Amino acid sequence: MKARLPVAASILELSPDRSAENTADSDDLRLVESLRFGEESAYEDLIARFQQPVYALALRLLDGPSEASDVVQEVFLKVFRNIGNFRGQSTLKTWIYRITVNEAHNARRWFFRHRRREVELDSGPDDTRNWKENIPDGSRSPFDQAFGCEQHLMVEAALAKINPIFREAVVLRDISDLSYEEIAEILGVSLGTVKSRILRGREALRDELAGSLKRKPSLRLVPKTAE
Amino acid sequence: MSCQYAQERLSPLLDERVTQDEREVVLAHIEFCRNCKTQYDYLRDQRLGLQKLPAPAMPASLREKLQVMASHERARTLSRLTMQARLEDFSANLRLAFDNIMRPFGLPAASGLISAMALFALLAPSLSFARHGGDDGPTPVATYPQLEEVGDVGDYPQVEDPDSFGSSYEKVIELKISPTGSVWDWNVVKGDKELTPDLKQMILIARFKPATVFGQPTWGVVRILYKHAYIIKG
Repeated sequence: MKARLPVAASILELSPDRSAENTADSDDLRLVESLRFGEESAYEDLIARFQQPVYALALRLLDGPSEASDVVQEVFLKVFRNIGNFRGQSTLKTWIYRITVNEAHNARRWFFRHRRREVELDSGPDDTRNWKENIPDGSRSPFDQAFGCEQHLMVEAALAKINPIFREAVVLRDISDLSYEEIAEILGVSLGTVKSRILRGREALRDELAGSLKRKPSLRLVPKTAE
Repeated sequence: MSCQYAQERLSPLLDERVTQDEREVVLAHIEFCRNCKTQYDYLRDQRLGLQKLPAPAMPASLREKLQVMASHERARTLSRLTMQARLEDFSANLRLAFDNIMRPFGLPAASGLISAMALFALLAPSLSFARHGGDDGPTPVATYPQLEEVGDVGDYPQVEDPDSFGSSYEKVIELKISPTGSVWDWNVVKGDKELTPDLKQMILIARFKPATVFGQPTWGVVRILYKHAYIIKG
């Protein structure tokens, strides 16, 4: 414990303005105030600003787009209903991400209890893409596109296989690009735990990716004479 | 410094979460340790791969649901801003709840009322009611005829109901009274069968209040009693 204290102090010294970043800025407070007074533009701003990151986070913490959509709706419902309780002691992003992580955790538990045997009837996200998302990207060759797509699929699949506790930390750090302090606040754990989870999550992801890249045993042909 | 010490700090080093001393030591180690250098490069590439992951496409239906939800929640917020808005919202909710309750009840109730009115309109011509003529007293089940007018015939006749029979009287005449109150038939029950002209005139002139059953006029019988002079008894 004694050995860790100087390290923690030095870490805080590395980023002296971190504590300032973790409180709501004036834009957040203005947005929250507008939401409390029911201004239409504030609702639009909040949705425009957070719907995509919240959906991306929920999708990576859960198993499919259907569950992620449910969680996103729950998150925004909670945000709208509890915006009066937001005191500005954290950033609006941290607050919303914390709700998202908690809701994803609840959904995962509920899913394992109830919905494992359900069959999804809702259409996938590809069916609901608008025309802009379907325009082909001409800047890359088909090989690059296929290779990139394959890479992304492999990384996403490996990410989905690691322990959800570590996955949360890795996603928040490496994909959502949050600081350790923000992650600690979102997950409700100490900085040391965040550090440990990120380390173990990265190692687990590395092992998963290494395992998926291992060469599969080739087909062995044994010559035999015709009978 | 061992490889284990360095590898525990590779991930924090990637995030710049190590002290300056640790950074220098670990960087110096990975300069000559091929294994640790590989691990560090792998972690860095892995992180770059994660950062390059494209944002997943959000379903259009979810966008629409969020817009609808925002609209509802905004209306909810506005309805709770002031006391007046709260009261208006409360009364609107109350009206809505009442409408929702009455909607399933209203159609059967209205159709029942209309059916009852149509049935009453169909049956009304066949119904008749008792006429009480201003008498507020209770209507007896059945009444006997009552003498109303007898004309100028000397002694007033005594009228009794047909069940009683006055043996002390010389003559007893039984009259059959129609529902209109006039004498329909007569019969001498006791005494001389011959009637005097005055008696005949009295029978012709006398008017009776007809017998009734449940308030409705009907046929009835009275007896007229008299001694030496004629006395009408019913």
